[in-house]
Amino acid sequence: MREHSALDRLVAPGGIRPLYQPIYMLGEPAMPPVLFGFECLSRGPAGTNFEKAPVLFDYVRLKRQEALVDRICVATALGELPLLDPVTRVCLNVHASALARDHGFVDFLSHALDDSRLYPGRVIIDVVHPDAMYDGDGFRAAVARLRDLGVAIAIDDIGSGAANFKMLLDVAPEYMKLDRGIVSGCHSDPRRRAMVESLVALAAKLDSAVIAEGIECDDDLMMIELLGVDIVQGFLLAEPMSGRETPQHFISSIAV
Amino acid sequence: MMVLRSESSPRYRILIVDDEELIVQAMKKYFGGLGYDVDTAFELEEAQALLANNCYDLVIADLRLTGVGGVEGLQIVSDVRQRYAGARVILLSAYGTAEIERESYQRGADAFLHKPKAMMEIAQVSVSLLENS
Repeated sequence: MREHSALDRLVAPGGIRPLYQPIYMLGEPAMPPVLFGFECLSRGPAGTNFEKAPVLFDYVRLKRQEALVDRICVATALGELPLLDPVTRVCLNVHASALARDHGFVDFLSHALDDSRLYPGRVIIDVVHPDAMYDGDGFRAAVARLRDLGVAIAIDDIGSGAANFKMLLDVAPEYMKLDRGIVSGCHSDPRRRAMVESLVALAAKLDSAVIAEGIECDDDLMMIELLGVDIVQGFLLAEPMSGRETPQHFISSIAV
Repeated sequence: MMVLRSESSPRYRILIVDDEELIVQAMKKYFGGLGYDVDTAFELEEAQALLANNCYDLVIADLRLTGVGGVEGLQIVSDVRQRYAGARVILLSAYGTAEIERESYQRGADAFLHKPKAMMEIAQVSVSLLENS
């Protein structure tokens, strides 16, 4: 048997690597997009299966250690966060199950934001894998405390099956993040367009802003803008990058 | 020596699951040398996370992944069968009783091999299952 499990290695110092993917706000036609914020992403050690985020987080969920690993991801992401413009948002991914089960998570987050001198109004808590756990007392209490703290809430994976309409009613998120599975290819697929259009209309009625993930080609970007989405993220615009790379990227993007 | 793969064989993707690091490394090297794309896992949950995010033609798993008394390999057989009807799965064990062997076939294993087995024998069974799938 191996002396250390993969989980031991992931939770050891340096086991989780933070990456930052820019999110952009589309402006007036012919104007370049402006930086809206960064989504903080996490990867396991290079050269392992956990370098791929879906494998990393499926493994962590199967081990039922998402609360512990979410804390580590938040701490490492904030620890290596580059200096940003004071209005730039910071999007942190947290499992619904971690919010539901880890009753100290919001206090932990509050201290972590203090330590990073990050004003909570700039922070978006992106609730991932919300399907099973959003409908419980622990989750509801955590959402109430997040609102008291002053952070905004996004629901991830809208359209993927992991997020449902009742949850949108119960959580009333400030942001709805459309899953790349419905965004990618919308320029050539009328069914995807219909879905995006309907979700944009729904978000407007629920007072949520829409963030489209998975923008990977110019045609999708153009179509998503025509469909009324003005906050976008994807490899076409910028790939996830390390903390050291972000300031240069930010500078070059606003100099276009 | 038996020819294990011909030039026209498709490039199969396989997953090897065993808690013994040296065995995993040796099997990865051997099957990689035969031209297969090889992923490896050391724990049940790591294997399950890989199965959830990739498609495999063949899974070779050890029965025991957590020391004395473990039968995690049976769970892997069930998971493979649930996800991919067409995938092949081989269970390896140094401790397999007739009862466990029977259960592995009931869950959908294509072969149950008793350790120790030479790499060549495991590869012959693998090729036979893949070429006849």
